[in-house]
Amino acid sequence: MKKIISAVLVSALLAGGSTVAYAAEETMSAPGESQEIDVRAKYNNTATVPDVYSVDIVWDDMVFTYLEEGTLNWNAEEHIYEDNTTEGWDKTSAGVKVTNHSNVPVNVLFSYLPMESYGVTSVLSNTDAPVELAAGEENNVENAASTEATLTVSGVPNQMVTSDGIVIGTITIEIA
Amino acid sequence: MNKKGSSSKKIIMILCIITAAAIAVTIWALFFRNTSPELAPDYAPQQEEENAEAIPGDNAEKMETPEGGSAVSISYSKELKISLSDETASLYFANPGKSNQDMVLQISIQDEVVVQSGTIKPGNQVSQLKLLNDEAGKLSPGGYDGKFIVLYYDPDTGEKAVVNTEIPVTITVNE
Repeated sequence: MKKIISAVLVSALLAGGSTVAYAAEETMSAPGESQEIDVRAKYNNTATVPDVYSVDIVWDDMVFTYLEEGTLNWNAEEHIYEDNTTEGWDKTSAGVKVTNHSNVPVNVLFSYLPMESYGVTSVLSNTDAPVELAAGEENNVENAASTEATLTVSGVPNQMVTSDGIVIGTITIEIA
Repeated sequence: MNKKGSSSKKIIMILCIITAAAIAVTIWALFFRNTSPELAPDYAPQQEEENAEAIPGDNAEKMETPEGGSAVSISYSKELKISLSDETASLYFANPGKSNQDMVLQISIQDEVVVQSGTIKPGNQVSQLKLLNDEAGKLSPGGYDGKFIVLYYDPDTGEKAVVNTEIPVTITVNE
């Protein structure tokens, strides 16, 4: 009995282990007959497009100089100085620009952290909310999306600000 | 007998003092010693980043720069990995040749700087950076939200620019 069962099982294994290949086979039984064979083309796209992040940042000269020029002339008769000086900032604003050359959009958020006042008021524009810069377009580098912010200074620097200069604030550009 | 007793007491006292001192030093080293730089250097590190490599095929001209101003370009990937066993971060960050500033890259996690590169000059990129001392011990395998902090330095004077960049990144920490 065992031998019979074993033989049956072996036969089943052999039958399952073999494969039958059904080739495309057609036969033409008589001269003059024709056979159509389909030719197929397939398109299988497995290419990926990785995100590439590339951003340019350009900023103006961020050194602001408060100038006092002219002379204080001593009036010997009245014992007073006659003020013939002028004073003011060499410039009151400087810009920073961010351009997106990525193949995906980016969000740009400007922020400004002023240090001690030093008598100077400094404010950065365009800090309210992130600005979305569109992804770069193919063959259109010149028109890449960009955004700008402007730093403005005012006031009169106190004696802590010397001719060597002092950092009065830092601009941070977050690119998300 | 009394002499022996008093000398034993002295030895015990000395040992207790030494033990107390050792415990105090251990507590200080574990909880109060600050080993990580928290402030960005005002001047560029003297040493160039040892893992920096030239960007292949980078021969672009310098960007147009406003007088007295600066112009930089950065390329990066927003995903990076940290290996605790190697104490290294695998990433992609490049300072293309068209930039006119040197850069230093920090990786910050939960407001703590875990990586700080040496100077990355224009035309160079990094794919691997070393963790700062003792930072690997503060991380566990898993995902973290962190950020790149990019600092810019004048290549001639080494002075730090008043503009910096922060980029949110996703960090996967492995054993």
